[in-house]
Amino acid sequence: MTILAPIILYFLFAYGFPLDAKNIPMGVVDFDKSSLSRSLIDNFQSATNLFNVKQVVGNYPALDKSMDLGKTHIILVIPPHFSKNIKKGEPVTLQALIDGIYPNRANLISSYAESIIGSFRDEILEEFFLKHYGFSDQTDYAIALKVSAWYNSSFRSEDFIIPGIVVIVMMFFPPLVGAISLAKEKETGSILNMYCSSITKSEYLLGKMLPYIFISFINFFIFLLITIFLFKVPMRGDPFTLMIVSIFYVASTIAIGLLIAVLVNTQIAAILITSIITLVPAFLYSGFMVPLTNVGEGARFMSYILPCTYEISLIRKIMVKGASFAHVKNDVIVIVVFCVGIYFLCIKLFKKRLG
Amino acid sequence: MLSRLSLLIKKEFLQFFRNVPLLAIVLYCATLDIYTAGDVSMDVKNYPLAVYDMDLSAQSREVINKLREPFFNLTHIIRDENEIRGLIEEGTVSVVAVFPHEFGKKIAAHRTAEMQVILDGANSNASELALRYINDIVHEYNMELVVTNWELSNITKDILPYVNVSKRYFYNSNLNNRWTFCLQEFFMSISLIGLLLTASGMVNEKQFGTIEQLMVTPLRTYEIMIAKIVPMMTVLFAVTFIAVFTMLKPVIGVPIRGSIWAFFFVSFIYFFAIAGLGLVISTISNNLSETVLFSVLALVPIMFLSGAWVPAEAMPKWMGILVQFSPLKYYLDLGNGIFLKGNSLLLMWKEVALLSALGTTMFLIGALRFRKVFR
Repeated sequence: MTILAPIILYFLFAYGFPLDAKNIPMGVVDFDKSSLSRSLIDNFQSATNLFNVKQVVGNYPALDKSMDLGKTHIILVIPPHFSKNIKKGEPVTLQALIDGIYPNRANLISSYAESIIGSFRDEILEEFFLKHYGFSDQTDYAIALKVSAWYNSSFRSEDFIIPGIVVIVMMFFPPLVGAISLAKEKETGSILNMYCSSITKSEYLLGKMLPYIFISFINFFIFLLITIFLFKVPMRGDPFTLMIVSIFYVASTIAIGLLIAVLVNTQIAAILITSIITLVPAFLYSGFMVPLTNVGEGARFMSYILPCTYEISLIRKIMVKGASFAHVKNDVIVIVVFCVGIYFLCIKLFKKRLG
Repeated sequence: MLSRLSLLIKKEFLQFFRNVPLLAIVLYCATLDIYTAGDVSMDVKNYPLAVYDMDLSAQSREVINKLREPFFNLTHIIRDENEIRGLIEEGTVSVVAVFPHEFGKKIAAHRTAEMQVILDGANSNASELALRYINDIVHEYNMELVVTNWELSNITKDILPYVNVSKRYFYNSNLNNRWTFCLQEFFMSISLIGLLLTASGMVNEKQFGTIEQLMVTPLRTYEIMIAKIVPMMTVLFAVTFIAVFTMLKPVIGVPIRGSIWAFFFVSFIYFFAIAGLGLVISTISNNLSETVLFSVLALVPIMFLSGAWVPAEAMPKWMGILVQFSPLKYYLDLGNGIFLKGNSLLLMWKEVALLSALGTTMFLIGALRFRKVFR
């Protein structure tokens, strides 16, 4: 179960993170009902997987409450005389009502909608110029963009998301397992055996960590294989550097749990504290979903003290970019220092006596 | 019966309040934890950008000036082509804009000039957004030039069939990320505390053998169960109360557009659902390690499927079905609905009904299993 549980979560994330389909539920209020307005709606419907036009209605009340209930995230309002005005050569204004509950989603929806409306606008202008002036001004833009995305030319999200998932899932269980293993002995009193014995603190803590490091590393290795062979994420860099550094990474995740168990005396407190500082922060602050540049001052502190931040940066650089050691050495140093540092902090704070 | 029940409840409270670290982390969840979550935003901001300007013309400088905050943060001026690879590989910059020779000359001569954009594809989501911004910026620049050209031939925008869009954002008109993230963080932490406290409370007694002492008391199984759940619910309500009235409302400024009583009512149903799940977990695990394993295994999917991180409509179809079984999804929808949309429970009766159904089922299963195991 200890090995199986992370694998279940890995697959949940790997399949659950959306790749290309967005399927944004959309409603349209079409006051115009002309062939032109219908072709605009068609442009939205046919934009691959972006919008899912659920309802096209002729008046507001029919869509009333649909956004309140979360059934549509954008409502496009096509004004009356839309096509008449365009044919007359007059400017028209569409209205886009967007659900702002999730601001980042709202921004995306708005920019998708704008790009579809933008190309619709260009078409109309081009036609207009051709008809009235005999030339199409639109084609002569001043700047043409030439885009090249390195390492991942088609923006495959798998290459971005899945290496991150490997790291995140390793942040879920090992700290908790580490925390319980020590807190349990402290709470049940079996730690007294250790107090009485001749074993040193460092030996004891290392002994607690080693089996879990081994199990976690096996987990990590399985994830790596699935990532490469099932999800076809390239391994462009040196897999041995990645694996050796990852031993330090899994060790540091376990050490976080041990450190918390050193500080508190009950298992329940250890469990709750560990899960609060690892589960959600690993998602939000590690650079996994949110780029680090978007994490504000207050939360940046969390980003810096989570080892997964550095491991995510490392695994992406090695797997996808094929970065050489010189370019990942900062991440490597931080991970190793973290691991050794937390371990020594545990030894320092761990008292081999009662009270 | 009431007196012995109240004694047991009192014991649970004492146990909770004596555990100072536990108390501290629960208070942290209700306050600071929510506060830090508000510092995150998802749109591309201050994206590190480098510029390689071979042209050094007025036109290239004009475009560079447009690639600015809040979207981009110009961190490097590249002088040599060989620098590019290193900068991107290290991740110091994620976008490089290259202006070739004669860029300015071509524009001045009304010819199309090429501008090259190199993106860090390993950071695909953010790079895609960054590209979108660059596209918008360049498009705007192009349109400006086009309009100037029109004006030279006496055409103004008013006499063109120009399609404008006016946008309005509902519920959060300034697109304030803080509201969303802080509310979300609260919903997540309360689930975490609720589940872990219920699940571990019982297993703890099992592990220490104190369960035997409870068994030989005249207390009935359901009384033991009530004594475990009442304090947990009280703690969750206290956390909710503190979070709403000391953090979410005054500090973060989340509006309470609906009825706060409706929210407490919904919270009550949700806590029941979570308690039920906690009971189930406490019956299938023998020690706290197993409890935690099962709890995380239940909790992470519940969070993931809630639609907070990934919208449900963008998930694969089969996962969209699983979403219907995440109680957090309903709690989130109802919570957002009440706080931000000002919805009434009547309007959201479907969510309330489904959450209640899910909660009752989970609680019944939990209670039945509890009776079977602890007797």
